[in-house]
Amino acid sequence: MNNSTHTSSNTTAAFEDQAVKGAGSSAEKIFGGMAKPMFKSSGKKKSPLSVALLILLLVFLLIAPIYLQGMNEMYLLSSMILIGLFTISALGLNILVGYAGMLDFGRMAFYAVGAYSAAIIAVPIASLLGETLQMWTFPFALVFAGLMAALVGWVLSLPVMRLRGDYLAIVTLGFGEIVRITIQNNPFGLTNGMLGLPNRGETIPAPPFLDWLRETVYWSINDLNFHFMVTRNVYWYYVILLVLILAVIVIRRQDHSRLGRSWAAMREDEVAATAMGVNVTKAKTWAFVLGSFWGGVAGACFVFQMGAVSPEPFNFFNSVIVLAVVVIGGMGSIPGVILGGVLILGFPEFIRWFAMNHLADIGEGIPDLVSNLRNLLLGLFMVVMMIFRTKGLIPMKPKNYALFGLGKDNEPDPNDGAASTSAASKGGA
Amino acid sequence: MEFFFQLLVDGLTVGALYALIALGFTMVYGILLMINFAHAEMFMAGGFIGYGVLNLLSNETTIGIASDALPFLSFLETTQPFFTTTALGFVIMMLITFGVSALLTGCIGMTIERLAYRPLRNSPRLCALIAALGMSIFLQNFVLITVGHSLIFPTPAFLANMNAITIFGGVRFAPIDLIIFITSIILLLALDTFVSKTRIGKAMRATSQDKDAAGLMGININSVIALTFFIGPALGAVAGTFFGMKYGVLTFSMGLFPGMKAFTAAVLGGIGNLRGAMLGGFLIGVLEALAAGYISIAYRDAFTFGILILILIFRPGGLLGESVVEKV
Amino acid sequence: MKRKLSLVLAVIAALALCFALVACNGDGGDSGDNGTATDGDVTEFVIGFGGPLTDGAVGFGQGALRATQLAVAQANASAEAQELGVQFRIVQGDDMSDPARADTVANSIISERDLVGVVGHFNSGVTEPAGAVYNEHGVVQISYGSTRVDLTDLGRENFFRTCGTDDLQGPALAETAHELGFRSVSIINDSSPYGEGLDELFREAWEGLDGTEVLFYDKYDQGENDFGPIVTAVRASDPDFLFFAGTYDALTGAGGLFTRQLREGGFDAPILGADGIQKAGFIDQAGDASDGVIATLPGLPFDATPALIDFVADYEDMFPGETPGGFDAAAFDAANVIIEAVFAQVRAEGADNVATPAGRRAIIDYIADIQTTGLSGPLSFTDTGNINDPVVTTYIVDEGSWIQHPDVDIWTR
Repeated sequence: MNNSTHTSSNTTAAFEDQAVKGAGSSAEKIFGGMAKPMFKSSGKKKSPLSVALLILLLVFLLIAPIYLQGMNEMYLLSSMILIGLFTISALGLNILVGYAGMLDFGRMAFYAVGAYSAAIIAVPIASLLGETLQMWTFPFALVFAGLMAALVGWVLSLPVMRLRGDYLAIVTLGFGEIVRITIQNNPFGLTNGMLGLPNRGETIPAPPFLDWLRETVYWSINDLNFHFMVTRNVYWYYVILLVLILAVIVIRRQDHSRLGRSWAAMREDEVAATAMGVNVTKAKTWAFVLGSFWGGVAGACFVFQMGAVSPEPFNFFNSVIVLAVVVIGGMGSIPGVILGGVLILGFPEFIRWFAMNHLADIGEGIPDLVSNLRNLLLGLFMVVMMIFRTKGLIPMKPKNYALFGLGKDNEPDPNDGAASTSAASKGGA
Repeated sequence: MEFFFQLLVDGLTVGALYALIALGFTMVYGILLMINFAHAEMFMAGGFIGYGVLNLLSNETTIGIASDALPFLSFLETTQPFFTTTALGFVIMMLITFGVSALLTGCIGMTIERLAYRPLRNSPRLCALIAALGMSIFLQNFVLITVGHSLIFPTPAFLANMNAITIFGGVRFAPIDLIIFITSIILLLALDTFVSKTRIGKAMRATSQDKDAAGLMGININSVIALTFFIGPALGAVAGTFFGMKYGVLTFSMGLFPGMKAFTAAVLGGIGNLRGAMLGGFLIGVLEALAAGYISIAYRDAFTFGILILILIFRPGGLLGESVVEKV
Repeated sequence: MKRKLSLVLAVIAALALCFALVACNGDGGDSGDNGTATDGDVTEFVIGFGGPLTDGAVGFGQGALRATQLAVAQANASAEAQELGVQFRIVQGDDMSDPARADTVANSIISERDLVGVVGHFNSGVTEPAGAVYNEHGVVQISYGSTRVDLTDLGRENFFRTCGTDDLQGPALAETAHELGFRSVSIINDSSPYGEGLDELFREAWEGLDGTEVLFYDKYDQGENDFGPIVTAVRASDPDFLFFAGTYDALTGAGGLFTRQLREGGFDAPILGADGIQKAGFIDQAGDASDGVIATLPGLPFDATPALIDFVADYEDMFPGETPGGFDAAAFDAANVIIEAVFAQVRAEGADNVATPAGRRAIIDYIADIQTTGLSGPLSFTDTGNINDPVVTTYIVDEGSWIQHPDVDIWTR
């Protein structure tokens, strides 16, 4: 957040640029904006406590799979992978819902596009790279899947640009179903229908060094009954964790870019934002493109981790889960979305695991009752959240931008939304 | 040609159900500018309630269990033969089934409005939409946990014994199709008369035009909205019970697709417009039957969603509606 | 803001801590000692069972679970188990017929330390991804109901199946229909991986027969209830019979409802299906419309051998009110194959060397060369893991139950 210092003249120049041209006019501008935030956010230095907690969390995340795999708790490990995948997808959705204020009920469509693009491209890329290099297929497929999903997001954004919020939600729902049905019906022989990909006789190539790691790393402490080897899931856990961290860093920087501010303005009041010179169409398009990108990336990770893909997971209900992660966690708040992912996906799996291991004597149906109850509570939670705590468990913090470093020490006014601040400062220019 | 007419018959029957559901969407949207996602679940709940009532009236085993638990219900044992064997009994049984199902579902609808939607009336519309979605998930899973994921709906004995009517040498009307079609038309006409001719109907129209002004004119907005949330679900419940009778199954997730299609119908007719919703329902029913028959049933849902997207993009006002201007 | 960030991190860290603590505690509670759970002189091994138990094709999953439980109960009571000091326990994994759950379910089964083998899964779409997990951990997997052909072509040495394959049922169905005098067919599948695979293989076999034709073909989306237009289209195509490639479950295949609506819609020609509908649940769903529906099922009918008759008696004894059907016999065989291999390994290497990587490897090798007697007669596996000499029986619904079709012989390749 508050990680750059720059001179006031720099700020002024950039500020004028912003006022004249509105939202970033090209990708370079956006990423340029990311690299050099033009306003100082009025956040303070992190306290040692939170830094320590952050490090603790990271250490935990790094050690957890070794512990879980070593102690033969593969179920919990695969649950953590699930959390990671959904959270990446939810971070992408968060760009749309949280930053830009656009509802999407068909998020799984982009997940599906990513997964299928990766699965389709994997086999030709692998044969192109040849025997020795084919383990490098994954990074190519990952980028390709992200770009394909972004492309589909862009195409979808064209017609729906003028739709109001609730109509947009319905259109994305319909779009999600159309994508699922189309995949199911094997268009142009690409998706192999319900049988899924890869096609018979083909395999999705193993990622870099997995085979080598599996053969090399073996730790065993017999006294503790601890046996660790790098299985597929251990490997993918780290890859997905890495992608997740990358997503957090990139999205966070975007949020503070010029584009991020125009999203904020648009979310609060589209008309006022337009009047202030924000190019709303452009901002919406970028929200769609960037949000879909992460959906596609998550899909590619999913297909490589599973080794296969079929149309079933891309249903409306999973789209709702992704939306619930964002809404319950906190729209527009990255920690919120992560917490939402941990709670909504992790908690039921954890209870299920607990019930299977410790409550099996009490009743056989408990694990399933728990997962059905999860969905029941999820629905109830969404209603209650909308009534009592619209902004989610961890609300987005209001963004305040101080000009020329002034107002740096002022506590942000909690009632003062980001938009009014940025809109007001734009008006001032 | 026979093929075409048969598809037309199939489409009109399904379309009648869509029209009944679409009214609930369009009335709520007309007054609150909110897509009541949970309305699809009213359709589902109505089906399950209808199943319960019908079984209670006609199924000996169910009556036995019920009268063991609640002795005052034992009179049902004496009425059961009347309901299952005579024509008059059958008609009365249908009326009771639909009446109770509509009444109870209407009450559920009002409860949901009071608990979940009224607190959100002045919140941003997206909040109401998410709350409605949450409500829908809640109701689905409530049924899943308490009843199970699906129920087989038995065809009432009296209906099973009736023969299908065949006209034009091959176009079949199953008896249930005729009943659905005629009942829906009666209900649609009744609602139309109610809204356009009565004082309460006038109040509803006034409220949908301008809530605040209607309030100032002395209309009790809350009761008008509550009434809307009663009528919509009640009609949905009728459709749900018909759905069970026609297709022989009820599932906890059965609301989603008919609900989406009914919403499409409401949008196609012009959302907020009652006659538009009726017209839209029949149109969507026929269009998707033709698509299923002439293209492929696998693409039927995709086809309907495609229509929805196209209307929303190119003619958001629908066929009979005026184009809506975003209020600032 | 500072406070908020700390709060978030604290919450997540606390959750993480709980996670770790309970995981730790849970592990200690489960198997406090080293290696195999040994209680006195008795060693307990775990047999994993995977299948749809609460959702999806529940009828098949529950039936197969009961058969597995019967096999385990018989093994535990056997003289051999007493002599060797070995007991078996079943760990169930409910995959709900959902491929997306396969990985999680397989990982929960594989988390059992004393696992010696897995009986599962039912749906081919689940068996494949779940099998990847068992394969990676070198645990034998014997499917009792996944009939998709290519499952045994994936090069997994640990995979076997005691049921037939669709390339049996495809030709068996086609030849049976031909034998019954049918020449023209309309085909509908239910968009399940199973339905699409079966559809393809049936059509291949059908088109290879004399004078046959396909008049109409379509498929419907999963979860469909309204078959009006497709009934109209099928009726208009006027075939000798309808081939339905799919299952009966109300939430996915809905074959029973489809049959009911076909009959109500005035379609009178015979309806043929395969193992996906050969179950009492199909008849419940279709009601009177199920009368005369024909379906094939790999394996012999339940009164064909003395072993099968005993199996039915024991099954009904252990589970009052339940009758074996579907793939129950195959699941029983699968469990017994694993049990026999475990007994052999205990004799050869001792009970401590069974639930180990080497022991599991030995079990796989033993099963690959097994020559034993199953319910239907001699049982052995081909190089790829299919059973040798499979048979297919044809059934028909008569007055509300499945009976062997009186005019069709048992099919062999």
